[in-house]
Amino acid sequence: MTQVKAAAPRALAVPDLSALSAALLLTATVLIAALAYYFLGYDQGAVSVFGSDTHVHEFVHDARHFLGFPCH
Amino acid sequence: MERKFIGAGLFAGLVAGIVSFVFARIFIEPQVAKAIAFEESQSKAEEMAHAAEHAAEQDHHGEVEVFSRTIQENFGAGVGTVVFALAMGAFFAVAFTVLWAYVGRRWPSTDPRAVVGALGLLGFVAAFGVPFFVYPANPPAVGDDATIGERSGSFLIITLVSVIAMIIAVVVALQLRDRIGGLAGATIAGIGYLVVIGVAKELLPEFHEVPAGFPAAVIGDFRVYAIANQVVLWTVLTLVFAAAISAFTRRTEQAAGDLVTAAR
Ligand SMILES: [Zn+2]
Repeated sequence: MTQVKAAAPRALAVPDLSALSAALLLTATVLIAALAYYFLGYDQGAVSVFGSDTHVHEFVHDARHFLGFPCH
Repeated sequence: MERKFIGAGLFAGLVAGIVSFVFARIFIEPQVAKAIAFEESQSKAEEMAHAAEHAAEQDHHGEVEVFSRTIQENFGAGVGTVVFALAMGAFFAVAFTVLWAYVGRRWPSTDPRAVVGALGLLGFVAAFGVPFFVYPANPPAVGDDATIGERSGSFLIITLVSVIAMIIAVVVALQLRDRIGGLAGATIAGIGYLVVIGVAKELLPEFHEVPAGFPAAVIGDFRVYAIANQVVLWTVLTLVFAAAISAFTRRTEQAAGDLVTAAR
């Protein structure tokens, strides 16, 4: 019933949300994976996001060596 | 579909991380233990030399252990390896999604598993092989504590340069494929990638910090096993991801077949 009236002259292009959500999902995945990679391989070695705490470094220390990251 | 690809990447990463940890625990950990034994014998000798003059500071070298060796070599190493493999699986899935969106549309007859295989090989070379070539992995006690910041920064730079140059090389190779052929395009892109790596290696600092008396065989064995460990990790990751992609493909074919049957 309202369909006839709804043929409005001011038509705004509908964004393709399926493509947008795919882009968002891929970007979020890359960011989270990069964060995990950074914490595992770099944080508390040279730089430390949480001050001088070394818990993450000490915990995954052997994994760092196994995976070829620079260490002590 | 991209949701399924990322799920497949994380699953493949999980499996690869577990297999890689088992490999590393058996083959790399003994080298790490030998390196730590050397390190401790060195610091003990140092302590004894200084004991006479600095009797009061004797506990200077007695570093407080946050986690015991047992926790580090088993639980910590396992969690760390799995987290690394999950991150690689996630990157792998995103790279495959973007690559297949282009290749699958442009050359629809391509087998997606061939794309997975190529991605696994290129990912191994870009994310591990080239950074290892520039800065080989070392067991504990090899490396000056004072340069840890510089070494970490240089390693991160060569890894980023390598991965970004590899992405550009793949884009160039795909762009050239229809114009000059796949092999010629890949050759040009490959040469370009190697030139970028060569320049980066020349510009980045070098580190020669093996302490005097450190057993060379430990470094040698450690590096061979470190390479083998990544070969295991990337092979399992690639094969499991390819198997998952095959399962999706078969299911799609099945669904299409069911539709045809239903229409009859
Ligand atoms: Zn270390």
